[in-house]
Amino acid sequence: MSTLEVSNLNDGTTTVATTFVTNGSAKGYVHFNGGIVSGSVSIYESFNKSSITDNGTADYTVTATNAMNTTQYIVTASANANMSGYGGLRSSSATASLTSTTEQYYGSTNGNFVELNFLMSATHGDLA
Amino acid sequence: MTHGHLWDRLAEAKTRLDPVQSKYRVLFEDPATPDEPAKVLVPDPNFMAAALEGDILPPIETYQRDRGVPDGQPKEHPYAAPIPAMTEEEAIEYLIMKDIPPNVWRDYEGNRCIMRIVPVELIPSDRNFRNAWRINQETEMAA
Repeated sequence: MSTLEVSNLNDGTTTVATTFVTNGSAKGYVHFNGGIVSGSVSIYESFNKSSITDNGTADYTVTATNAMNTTQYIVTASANANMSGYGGLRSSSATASLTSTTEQYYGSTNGNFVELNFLMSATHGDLA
Repeated sequence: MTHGHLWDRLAEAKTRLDPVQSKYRVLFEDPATPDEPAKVLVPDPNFMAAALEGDILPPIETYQRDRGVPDGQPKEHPYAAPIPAMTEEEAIEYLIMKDIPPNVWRDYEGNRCIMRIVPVELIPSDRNFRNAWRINQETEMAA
């Protein structure tokens, strides 16, 4: 594998530092089933994750393979509860904690824990 | 040739390896939170592919040493030399030591069985009483 060493990228009119691109890239992502589709939690698509722990109703812990450098990283999460009777985008929260690195996800509607069928997130920040 | 950064190896591996859905799950109860239900660890398919392929993941000891590294300080596991391929069973053991607290798999001295590696079929599919799940102590059933 060859390595291209450049400090800046230029498209003909605008120049940006290479770090602008690398720092802005997602360092991990995951899209998983919260359990109500097949009866058990499963992972559809991911990068830089090692496992998901099903902690209980609508409560999940996602763990990274390559940890982040600090606990001050960013997790952007969303969820879909396209279940019979009601559907659409539902709220979920993700909390970054521990640099080992884990994230906690909760599915909820109107403050009540609700199991969601599609949960997805992306992680930004500095890698360890 | 250097082995580079773990994240780079993971990115490269994702371009050429098919995800591997493990046939195992890890059931465990955390003695630090005895009132909480049993938890179920689900291995990531891309992680399993990397573990079975070899020369991607760092030694498990590096993760364990990194647990004690203060926030923001350099960590060892992203820069450690990768280890050879594992079997699926070895990969699950690696994952237990990486992602489950040591007070479950290493430090617990009680008589209660608080962790089991089980085939995925033994995980109940009815989640109506998910918060009541406990590891069955009397039979080989999962929960």
